[in-house]
Amino acid sequence: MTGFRPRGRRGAYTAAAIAFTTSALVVLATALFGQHPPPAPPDTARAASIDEPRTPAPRSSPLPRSEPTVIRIPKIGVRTQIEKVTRSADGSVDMPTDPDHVGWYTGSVTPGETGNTVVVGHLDSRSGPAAFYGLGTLRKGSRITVTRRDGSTAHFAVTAMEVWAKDGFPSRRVYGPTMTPTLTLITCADWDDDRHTYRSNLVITAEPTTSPPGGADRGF
Amino acid sequence: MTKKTATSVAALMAIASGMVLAPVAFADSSSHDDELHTALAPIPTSKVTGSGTAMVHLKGNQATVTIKTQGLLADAPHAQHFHIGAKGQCPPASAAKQHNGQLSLNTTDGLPFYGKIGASLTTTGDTGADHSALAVDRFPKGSAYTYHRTITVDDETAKSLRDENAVVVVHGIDFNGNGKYDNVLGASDLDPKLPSEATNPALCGPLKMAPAAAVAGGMGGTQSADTMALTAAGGLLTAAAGTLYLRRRSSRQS
Ligand SMILES: [Cu+2]
Repeated sequence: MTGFRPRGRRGAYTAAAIAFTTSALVVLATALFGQHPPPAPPDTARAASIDEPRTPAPRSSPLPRSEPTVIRIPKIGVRTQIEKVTRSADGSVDMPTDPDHVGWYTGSVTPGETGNTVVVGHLDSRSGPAAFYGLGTLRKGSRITVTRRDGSTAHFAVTAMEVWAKDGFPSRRVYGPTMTPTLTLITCADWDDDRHTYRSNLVITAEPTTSPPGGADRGF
Repeated sequence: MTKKTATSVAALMAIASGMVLAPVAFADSSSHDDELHTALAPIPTSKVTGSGTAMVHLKGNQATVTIKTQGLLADAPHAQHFHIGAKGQCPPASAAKQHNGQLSLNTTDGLPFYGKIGASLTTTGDTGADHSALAVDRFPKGSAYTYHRTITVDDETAKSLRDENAVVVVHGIDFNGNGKYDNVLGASDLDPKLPSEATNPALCGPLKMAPAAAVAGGMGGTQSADTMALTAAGGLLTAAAGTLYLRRRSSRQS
């Protein structure tokens, strides 16, 4: 007999006990050293300078106005409803009431229209991961699709990822209007253990792209 | 971990430790200035393919206006205004009518959506709705321009801006693509001495208040995992002990 091959019930129980103990140790180690932080955006997301202009969007014809209903981000398994959100008392954008949903800022254009569509989402709720938990794993080229009330779909691909501290947040750059259709996704980043709040925002910029050949996002 | 488990563990944690995870909100009371902005999109049926952006910084009745455009008819003046007092919207394609046998949208067709003129965004001199609405010699020229000027608006226009009811409209289209304003759509509905192409709306954008801070997009439920993890680890160790007990029993039997 080569290697470890548990035989019979006794072997199985040994294996199970080892597995449980190992899992416990991993969980403990995670608790002590890593906790369960959301996936971090790439380091390049922090390299951007405020003065750096956004890359010009590729030519594509804008869509007429139609409010968004569902967002899909296949890479991180997101397929969720889009709520409408307005400006909050502090001048920022309100969050969706259901942390599993995302919020479309009604003061911004609808997805695919000329201009900057702003969609916000929670990274986590009080109890666990929320809609935009996995946003940090997106990379340039990752696809995002938005279904609209008129039945049409706006297709986007990620073109930029930036992390901005809440102090000195570049509001004009993030929320400002654009000459071409642009989708801006915003969630939190950088947990502050002492203040029990997030210190930064992760800002993802996506620009129109054609739908994938053969409808690769279909059925998701 | 399933959501339900996470929720109940977190709920227990919260009760046990009285932890406060709510992010602190800071009210911005630094100024009473308002900042509005919009993207400028082509009016449907206008054959315009250009676009633009508009930003308005409003302090009392002083409006500092920045407008950028691209893709308009070159070498031609483009009248531009704040429109106010209607729906605060840009007209949809369904607002277009037959003009000189062509389905198109003139300035009057859009009035039920963007409303009457509140201010004329001229480059110099008067900015009134009445005297400068079609002051073609005092509007920006060209396909792509940047307009920047601080003007004084009347109370009605200031209120409309603050109510997010004002719309930026840039005029002047080239419906037949011949490089100049002509009478393909007949005479202007605003001034019969001008061609309709010269005054038809080209770009439009409803001005909305610009958000001004980062979002509060997390509550920390995936960060305060210490207790959650300890509970889970404890459970797994109990399971390990249980299986070891079964293993002993199993070995005794065999
Ligand atoms: Cu006008």
